[in-house]
Amino acid sequence: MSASLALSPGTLAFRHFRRDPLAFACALFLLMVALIAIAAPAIAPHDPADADLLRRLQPPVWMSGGDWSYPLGCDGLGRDILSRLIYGARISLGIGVFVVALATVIGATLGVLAGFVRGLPDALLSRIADILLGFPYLVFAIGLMGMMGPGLSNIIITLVLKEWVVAFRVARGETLAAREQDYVEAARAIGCRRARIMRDEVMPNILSPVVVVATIRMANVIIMEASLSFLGLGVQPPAVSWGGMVADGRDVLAGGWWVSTFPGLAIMLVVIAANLASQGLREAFDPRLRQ
Amino acid sequence: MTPLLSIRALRVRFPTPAGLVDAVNAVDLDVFPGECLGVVGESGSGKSATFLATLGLLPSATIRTDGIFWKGRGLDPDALRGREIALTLQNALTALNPALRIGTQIEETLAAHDQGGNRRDRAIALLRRVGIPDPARRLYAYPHELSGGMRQRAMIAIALACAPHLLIADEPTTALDVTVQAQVLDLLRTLRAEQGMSLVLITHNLAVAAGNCDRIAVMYAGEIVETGPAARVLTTPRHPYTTGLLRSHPSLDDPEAPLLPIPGRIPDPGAWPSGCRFAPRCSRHVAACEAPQTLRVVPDGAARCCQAGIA
Repeated sequence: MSASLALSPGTLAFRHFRRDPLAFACALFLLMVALIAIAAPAIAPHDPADADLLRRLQPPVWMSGGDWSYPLGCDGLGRDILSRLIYGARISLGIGVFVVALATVIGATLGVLAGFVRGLPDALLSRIADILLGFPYLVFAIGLMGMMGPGLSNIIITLVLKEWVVAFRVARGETLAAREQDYVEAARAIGCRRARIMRDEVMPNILSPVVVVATIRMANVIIMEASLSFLGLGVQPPAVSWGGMVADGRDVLAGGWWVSTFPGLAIMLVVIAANLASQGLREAFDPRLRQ
Repeated sequence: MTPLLSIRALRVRFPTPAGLVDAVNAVDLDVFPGECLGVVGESGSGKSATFLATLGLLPSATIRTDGIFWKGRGLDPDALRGREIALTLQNALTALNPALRIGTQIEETLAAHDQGGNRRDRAIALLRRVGIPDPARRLYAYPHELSGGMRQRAMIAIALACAPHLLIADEPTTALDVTVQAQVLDLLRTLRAEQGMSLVLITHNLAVAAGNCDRIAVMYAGEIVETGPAARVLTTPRHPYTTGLLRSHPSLDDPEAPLLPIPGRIPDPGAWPSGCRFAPRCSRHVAACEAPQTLRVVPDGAARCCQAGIA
């Protein structure tokens, strides 16, 4: 009997993923950032909101005037940039993961429903999705945040409202193909009800593209959150977010480049890592792309 | 004896861009308790459509009937499907869900019908019953890890999950090699004997029907052209189409006999001849064939041919 007996498609995909050094390294990097975010209070050397104008624009450690207690320097209010980066990871990554997870669950559920049931629910949901897709992302988000006001829950609501469309369209398209398969007819032949067929037969078959797309979208959501926070529509102080830190540094760019640069760098690294990891994931889940 | 399943004047039409196409026309069928009915015919003759329509599995088709009865009462397919009537689909290679383990798929059937007890043990018992070796381990196999014969057995195990009174096996031996075909047919025969279950065997292979069925219904162009006990239909066919099928099949008794194919091909659905649908290909074509034919009672069965009594 072959050694691969009893390996689930997920296990096989993970094995393949592990052999892709770049994607695996990126995934480890994201995991590390996530752990740092979770352990922020234990790791951060200072209180991220602790301002001291005596340390205003203190440069990073390798420049003259820097010291080891504030390795990445301080911002315009004398707050430790490293600590703020560590706490900011909670918002950036947290929102990225939470928004994508929620949007994927909602979008995939509606997508399977629309693709399987067809008819009026499909027409209705698809038109709503088309309308949402027609709005430029940032315009939609700014408009909605402007109406609801800034804040953590509002930013999540706004992003989910826009983001579920992606999972919806992927899930719906895959379901349209899956519902015509013999195994769906076989399930009906053995007397399964529609809800059971959607949940137990169709869902497992459309899951991998949905998961892959979700990881790609995570990078996007992180950038959106950063953009909204940069514009002042995101989380409000004293909560720290990377986008907000970039905005803080804008006024002091001439005297302290590090205030904006480090959070910008953090955003870039996390987004690149998420993109590369999702690319590896896509290859791992698609047998045709496996070498 | 009351038939288990009784189909009266079933008509199935499919919507196509060219309008409604007649796939099944005026089909009457009875399946009696414990018997094996063979439904024979070439591709497109309406064998599968007849039973898919009966079970309510053709949502897009227009179905007209004078009644479909289960144990003498009107049949509610939604309530019986998978419970008292089970169906195994034509293609065992694609009818199993590729993303789920075999055990999950069997247990799912049990769950869908709220069967109590330990589902895992029941699944193992079912796999053992259909002759799958090492069933406890095969529960964790995915369909692609099983051979064609094994998948067909797994399909049958799923169909048997609720101990149905009637099993409709749609081309259970297609895409299997001959020795495996024989094993699967043996299995069906054993299961039928053990459970007193009725079996409808849909096949294009006359030999398969000959070896396993009590009665045979031959279908051509969406109609039943001949019915009767298997022995009679195979030895003294009353319809020229059945005769043609038998002549185009090699015989063990006389291997030297030339094979005589039926000339022409089955007409397109939607373009059926106005009279007897077999007339254009029939060697005994007479003027009366221009009129539509009904099933005529002959000794031991019925045939849809104006010369049925003469032959």
